[in-house]
Amino acid sequence: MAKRQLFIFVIFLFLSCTGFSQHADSVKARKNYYSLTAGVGWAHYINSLEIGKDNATINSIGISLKFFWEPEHRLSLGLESGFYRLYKVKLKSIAEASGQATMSAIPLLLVVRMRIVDHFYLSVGGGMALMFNKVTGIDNKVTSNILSMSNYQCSGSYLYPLSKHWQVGGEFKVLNFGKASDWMYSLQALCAVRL
Amino acid sequence: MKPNLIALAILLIALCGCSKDTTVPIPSAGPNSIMEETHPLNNASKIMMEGVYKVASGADFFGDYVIVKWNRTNLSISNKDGKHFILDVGHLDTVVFLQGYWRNGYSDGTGLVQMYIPRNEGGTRILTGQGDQKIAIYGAYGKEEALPDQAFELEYLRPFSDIAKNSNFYILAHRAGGRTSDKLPVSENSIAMINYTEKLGSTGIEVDVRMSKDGVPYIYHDGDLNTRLTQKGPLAGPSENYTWAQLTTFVRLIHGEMIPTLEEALNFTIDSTLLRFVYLDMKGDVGTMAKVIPIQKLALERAQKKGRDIKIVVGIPSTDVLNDLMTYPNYTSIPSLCELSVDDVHAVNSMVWAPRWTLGTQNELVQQMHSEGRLAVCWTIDQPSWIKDYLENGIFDGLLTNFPYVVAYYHYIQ
Repeated sequence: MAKRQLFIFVIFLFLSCTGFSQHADSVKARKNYYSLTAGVGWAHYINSLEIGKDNATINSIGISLKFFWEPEHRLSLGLESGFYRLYKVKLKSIAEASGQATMSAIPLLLVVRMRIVDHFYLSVGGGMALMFNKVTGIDNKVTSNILSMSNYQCSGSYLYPLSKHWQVGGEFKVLNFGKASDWMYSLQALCAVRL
Repeated sequence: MKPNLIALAILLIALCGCSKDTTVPIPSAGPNSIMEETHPLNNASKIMMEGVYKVASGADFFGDYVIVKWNRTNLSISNKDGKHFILDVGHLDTVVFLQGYWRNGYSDGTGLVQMYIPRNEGGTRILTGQGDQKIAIYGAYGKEEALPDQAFELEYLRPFSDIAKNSNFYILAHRAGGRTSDKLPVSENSIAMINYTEKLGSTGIEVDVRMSKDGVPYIYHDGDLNTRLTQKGPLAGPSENYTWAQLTTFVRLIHGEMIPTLEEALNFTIDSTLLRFVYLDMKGDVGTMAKVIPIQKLALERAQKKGRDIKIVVGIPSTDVLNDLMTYPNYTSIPSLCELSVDDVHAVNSMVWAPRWTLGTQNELVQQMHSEGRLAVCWTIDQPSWIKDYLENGIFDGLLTNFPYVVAYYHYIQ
């Protein structure tokens, strides 16, 4: 009987040790992060208009917002959105009424980002974009929404860590909106937080 | 290595696919023109040139026979596989000179053509009505912008048959006369295209009718504004989203023309062309019909005042449009073209039945339409072999096509 109790105690001891070995280290080393990055800056539309080319305003403020899953590897996967005004064109109608047409876009892109060296990243992404075409000044205000299905971006960014959670930096990106073959580039200041 | 080469090839194909050549340039003789001091032909002389010709030299490129036919402005020559000529003609004394270009409608092939009819081989007969029936046209054709250097010679074979001459057959050209994608020098669904299409052999047109946000019917094919049909501009999305003033301010067709209103298109067709049939293909939403019918009525009245024998019919491509038409008072008296069933034709008393070409020649039903005093036309038939088959074995009153010169060839060579 004593032998049997001793055997059960030894088995329990082994299981206990095995179980303890599955516990996290006393020093926590978290290897997966989620991060949120916001950017704002100058956006420039590469003017490919044939109608109103000389009457187009092609510089504006661009905003971006990115959510990344950052595993321990160099690659991160994320979603990017934002708001860009591509151009504003002012023209006069046959009746000499002055009107303006504005094209803006909200992209929604799946983005892959790679850390090249410390703090420096390259990313590419593709996805859809909702484009807003607004006309004012001639007849009633008209807004036409267009879904663009093939859109791309590539960018290079630098993020300097301020603390364990906060990073700041800058980004240069090129965006393509496929619906009307529109291209633009943007230089933005970034602020990122690791969640 | 092989996958890399395949990837490179795909990339090159994709890049080449992005090319936006919207037109095949029309070759010009420039300082080498032979037309400088020539005088225009009168109508009697023009008619004397028309007929079926044998290709005595150049048959390897243009085939054995061509048809020679005058249109409102030019002399057109068509062969069986899409090669066609658009020529200016003039005379000096009793020698007739021809100059222009050839184009292959199924490819980008083109070139300059310069020809003449000697005095004693048809020139005298064409200009005076006297002399030998024989007409021989000598000359040469070139390729691209090069001067003509390939021998081309035609011999008059016979006049058009009575069937070809006397029938009321309609050669209907798509999108107001031709598609932008066929790299024509003018944009589809434009006034310029309506003015151009007779050079291709058309005797009627189909136009695509839409309605602006403020209720102005205009002609434009696609569902949205795009760089396939328009110059890149600040508007995008469905053209119906915008008012007419906004469209005229911000949109130009691919060759720079303005989108025409339906009224402008019909008035130009009546006033400035010899086209005999206009098919209004209703692309717009329900409610468009109520705006289009009064314009159709005014256009028919205008044509009648000018003594123009022209049919202008509203198209019924779907049951939605059919139901839209049936809400209109006295809808059975409105000249219409129904693409649906024979029963639907009867329901709205359509003037024309227009089945899809893939349904076959349907001679019995076409015969039934004829016996009821209606016309039957078929859409949209583009392959030369099918065009030949439908003209030889069918009894349609017209064919809608993107290649009117091919239909012209097989119609006039009957």
